[in-house]
Amino acid sequence: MSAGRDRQGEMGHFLIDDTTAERLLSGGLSPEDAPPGYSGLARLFEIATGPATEAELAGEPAALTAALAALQAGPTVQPAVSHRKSRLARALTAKVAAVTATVVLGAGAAAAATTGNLPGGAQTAVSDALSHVDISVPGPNKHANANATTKSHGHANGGTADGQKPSDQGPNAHANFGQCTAFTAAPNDHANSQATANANSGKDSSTAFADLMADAVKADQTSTSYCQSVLAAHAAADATDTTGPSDTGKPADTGKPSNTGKPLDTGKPSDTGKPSDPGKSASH
Amino acid sequence: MSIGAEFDSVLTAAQAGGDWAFAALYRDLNPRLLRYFGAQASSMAEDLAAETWLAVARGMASFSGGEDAFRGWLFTIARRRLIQHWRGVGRRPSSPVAPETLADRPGLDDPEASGLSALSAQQASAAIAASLPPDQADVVLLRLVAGLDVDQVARILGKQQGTVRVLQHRALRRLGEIFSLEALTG
Repeated sequence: MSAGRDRQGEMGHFLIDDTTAERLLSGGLSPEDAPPGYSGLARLFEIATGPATEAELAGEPAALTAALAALQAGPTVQPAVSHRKSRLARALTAKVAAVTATVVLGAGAAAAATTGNLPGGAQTAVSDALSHVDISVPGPNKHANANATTKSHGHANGGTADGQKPSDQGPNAHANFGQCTAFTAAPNDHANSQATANANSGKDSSTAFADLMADAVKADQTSTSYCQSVLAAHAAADATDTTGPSDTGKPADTGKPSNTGKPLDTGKPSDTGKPSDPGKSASH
Repeated sequence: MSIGAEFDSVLTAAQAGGDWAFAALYRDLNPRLLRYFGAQASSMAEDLAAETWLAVARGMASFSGGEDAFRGWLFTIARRRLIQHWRGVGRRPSSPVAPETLADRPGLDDPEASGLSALSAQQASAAIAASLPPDQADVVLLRLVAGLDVDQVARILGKQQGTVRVLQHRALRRLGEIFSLEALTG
């Protein structure tokens, strides 16, 4: 595509190269600098990216007030609805069953299962059993995070804004969910650990949760907060209509390098239901 | 329209429940959001923007990332809202306006003489969306109005980066034809 500066498209208009396209799309190409035939478009793009106007800020009080109320209410408050809620409730029921299963198995065994560390037959059985409650556990001979050992000793610092990848995408998301379920269920030497790096926690130092720690470190979070994200995302993924174009079959929109460490779109629990915004019109 | 070097401290304060900080994010990004929604669901733009901010507020505490990532997250939610809206009304705008219709005005390639400069940002965004097939409009609005890069757009749309680039080139060529003097004068 980039070699097309001087070629004409099939519709008679000059093609532009990637650099020019990027400048146009940033709104930063002035009409005077635009290639032949593109000055009108450059101006249109300038306008579309222009500074905020009074009119655009006029709606601020009501919308902002509602959002601030939601901010103060915290992330656990859900809008009181509806048919979706019953679906979510069913999903959560399944998760409770899953938690029960992990407790029965023993948290260590469950964690081992999620990382594929049980003997083959047991691994298959656990994998099959948990598949009935919508949790994916690798079968025998699969090892999630083979390099976790080295990374589990990393420090939770230096969260880079550019390009660190949330590791819980693809199959690992399910493995992490399983681990987090077990992690959450396991007793902790330090109850009420806060959102600070807590490498001395009994759970965090357990080899059974080394994978989890590694992923949490990569996400620049403690295991506890990381698990909250994973569990929230999992619930959100269940509650979200999976036919949405941006739900591409990956769990909860994770793994965007440029959306690094983002909360797996944990706005989604509230994003899935109708908001309680009283200003929302019912007329569609 | 960006916060820049202060973003990290603003984000931290907003996550701690600081109204001023959340308001700063809102003021910086809501115009983009209104243009994005206004281009594709003009009558509902303010409602959709308000709903998006509600979702952002609820998920705020667990977000981490830089300013670009935040914008990407905001528009991930926004696009989902828009699709829900389209489902609710049973359609999305699908037929681009014929170039001749938009080209009715004289001298579009001479911005000062054409009246192009009298357009608001939202009208300009709407003209762009109305001129393109849906997949091209998706790409151009997310790149131009939302200010996202190719990678972010690809993720939001569930497409390959190469596909996004192809779509944006086609879109620019089409828009160039529509908003050019050549198209008007034949």
